[in-house]
Amino acid sequence: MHWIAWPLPLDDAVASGACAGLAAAPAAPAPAVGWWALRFTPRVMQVDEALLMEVSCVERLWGGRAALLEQLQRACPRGPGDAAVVWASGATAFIALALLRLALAGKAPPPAARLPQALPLQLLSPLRPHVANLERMGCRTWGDLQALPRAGVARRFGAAVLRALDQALGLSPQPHAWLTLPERFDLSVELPALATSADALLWSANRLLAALQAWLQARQQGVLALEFGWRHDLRRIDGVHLPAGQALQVRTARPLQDLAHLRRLLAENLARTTLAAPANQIRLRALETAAQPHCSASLLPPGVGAEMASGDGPGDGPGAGPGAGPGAGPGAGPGAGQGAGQGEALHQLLERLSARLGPQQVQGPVAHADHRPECMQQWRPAAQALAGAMPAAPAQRVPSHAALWPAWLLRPPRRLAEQGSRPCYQGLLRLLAGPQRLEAGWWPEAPGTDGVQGGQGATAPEIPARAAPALRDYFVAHNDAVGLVWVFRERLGQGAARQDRWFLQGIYG
Amino acid sequence: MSSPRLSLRNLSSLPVVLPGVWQADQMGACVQAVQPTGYGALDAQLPGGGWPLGALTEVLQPFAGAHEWQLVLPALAQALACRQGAVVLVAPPHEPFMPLLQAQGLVAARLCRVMAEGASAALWASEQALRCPDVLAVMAWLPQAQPAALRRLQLAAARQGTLAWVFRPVSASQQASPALLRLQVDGAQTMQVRILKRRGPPLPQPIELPGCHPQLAQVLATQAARRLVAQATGPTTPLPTAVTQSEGRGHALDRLAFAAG
Repeated sequence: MHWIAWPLPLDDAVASGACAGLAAAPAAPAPAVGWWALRFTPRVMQVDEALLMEVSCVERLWGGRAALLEQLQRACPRGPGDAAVVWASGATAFIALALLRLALAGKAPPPAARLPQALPLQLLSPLRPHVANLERMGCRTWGDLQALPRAGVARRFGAAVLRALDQALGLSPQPHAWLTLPERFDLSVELPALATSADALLWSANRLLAALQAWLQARQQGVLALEFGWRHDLRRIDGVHLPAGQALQVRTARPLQDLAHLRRLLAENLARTTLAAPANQIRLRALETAAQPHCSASLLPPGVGAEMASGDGPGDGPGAGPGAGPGAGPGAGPGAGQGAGQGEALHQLLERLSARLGPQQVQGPVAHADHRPECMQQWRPAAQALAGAMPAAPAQRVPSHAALWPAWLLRPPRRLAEQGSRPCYQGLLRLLAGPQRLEAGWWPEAPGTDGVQGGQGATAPEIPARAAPALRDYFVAHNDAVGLVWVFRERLGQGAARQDRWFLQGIYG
Repeated sequence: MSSPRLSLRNLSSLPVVLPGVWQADQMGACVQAVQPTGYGALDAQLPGGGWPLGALTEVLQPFAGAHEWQLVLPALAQALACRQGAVVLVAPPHEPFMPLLQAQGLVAARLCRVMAEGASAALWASEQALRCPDVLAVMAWLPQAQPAALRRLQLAAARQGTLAWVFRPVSASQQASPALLRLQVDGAQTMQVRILKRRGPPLPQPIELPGCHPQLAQVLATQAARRLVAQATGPTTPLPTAVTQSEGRGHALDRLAFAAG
């Protein structure tokens, strides 16, 4: 058994740090204060002012005691102004705790040879009420108390004293109340001061996000969606009733443990939110979590991998192919987001762009089988279209008239003026190739009830008349002002009642 | 007074191997990797022989949407074929027609269009895209960008080694620009590419590149030849009349189609 004692951050230190607005990592709220340690060992308990971890069973997994301590020091949350981390270790929980108390008080521990016996009595919490009496008997250390006759001590101070001493010295087993994680993450904290702006809320949210990160790391999970809510301090403003609180949801495509990305998304969303009233409580819930996939470490040393990646240049040809560089491309998953100086993955970029500009503004194309050019492609929010949720479209046969397609599509087509029977667009257009006849779209039953398009009404074109079939002759036209353009003549009506209208639908860019 | 002439003569005979220093009448050595443009004539005039990776390329054109794909698509298709990453279009002037672009080598599943309203949103989106390592190329239409903003983009591009094109109107040619390469593209039937700025000697005459895809050019040439033959054999008929003649058959087919429907 080997125990490590770690001090818990003091609540008043946290509060003063929060009020002073110090730029330090905020400490986790009360229930979550020890969660960070559960990532390292399942045996963690909270005793008085310290966190006690039993590490003998996990040392080997972390590469030895020294390596584990180093990682603990890196991972532990630091209070504002903490320069060095104070910690202590011992053979039993109480020894570690006593040594930690000595270290926190700034006293030197007794020599290792006399270690448990030479520890002062007041370092053992259950003995504290009796320390004055025992000192008057000349009994100052654990060894002194152990040397006293047990029956007499039990009669005078109670059996609890002897039990605590035995447990501290490792002579009898000690029951532990291990720290456990809740099944679902749902934490709320009262704010030390009313938050009147989204910025203040975000600062406080950092505390909860840190707790969420500890929870995720301990459970080996990544978060997909979370909800951040706040409670209003006022019930009504100017006679208008307010809802009790507000909440906003943030989602991401791949499970995440590193919460920098979620924090950015939250910041983007909060920046567009105005608080209806000052908030006095915030709450963070993980709506959806998923097991975090772990990427296997590379067999090659890091330097070799980097060389290979940089050698994957344009001249290497297709042989260097997709996925040749380790950590390159969106397929590298969670590791890509965590690489130092690597920046974010593509889906994170898309989510961030969508968060600021709106999901409809960041789009990816989806092909659609149709003959009408405006229906051949639909644009979906890129987070769905590009994030790999879509199966790769089978390679389609390119029709023979594909050579006449333009690179830019005008949506909706622009009505052209006519001069005689010829279209004009910044001058008379000369028809170079055509006509290419298109007759399609006779199948929609009625405007609005569009069975084929299935809810794509928003992106579907509103060319001349929705329900009318598309009867068009396409031409490649040219004039010196606009270059090559793709125009069509719509043929409506029959015979003498026929009227032609010209539209510009594409530009050869 | 003879000493400067002497040192110049010495310098011209010296092989200059300093990084970032080249002789004014020679092409500068390109520090970064390049992506061949797909046009031999253009490659020959660009330092390194292609579009620079990790540097801004500024393309000035008379109106947005004029020549972008014709200029950029061969290089983009080649880059997509041999490397990972997505192509991000920021504030494109029109909707890119994917069936055609796909036929010419652009992968639809790796294309993303960002419609940013306002110059600052477009700049922000471009910069974010350039900072992302999973982005292969960024095409941004930034008509109102200031040199300072372009400088930010240039730095972001240099960090990740992205292919970056910024399309701007010709009126911006008088503005200073931090872009490594500045081109001005004109012309209707053929593309006239003027190199305004490069690491090398100035190029007085424009480079002439095909103005449209070879398949389209072939179709146009065939139709033109057919029209010439028609003009030579029959009475000179303007094109619209010829079109109306060909439509009688179309009407009959119309009715057939309706009956079938």
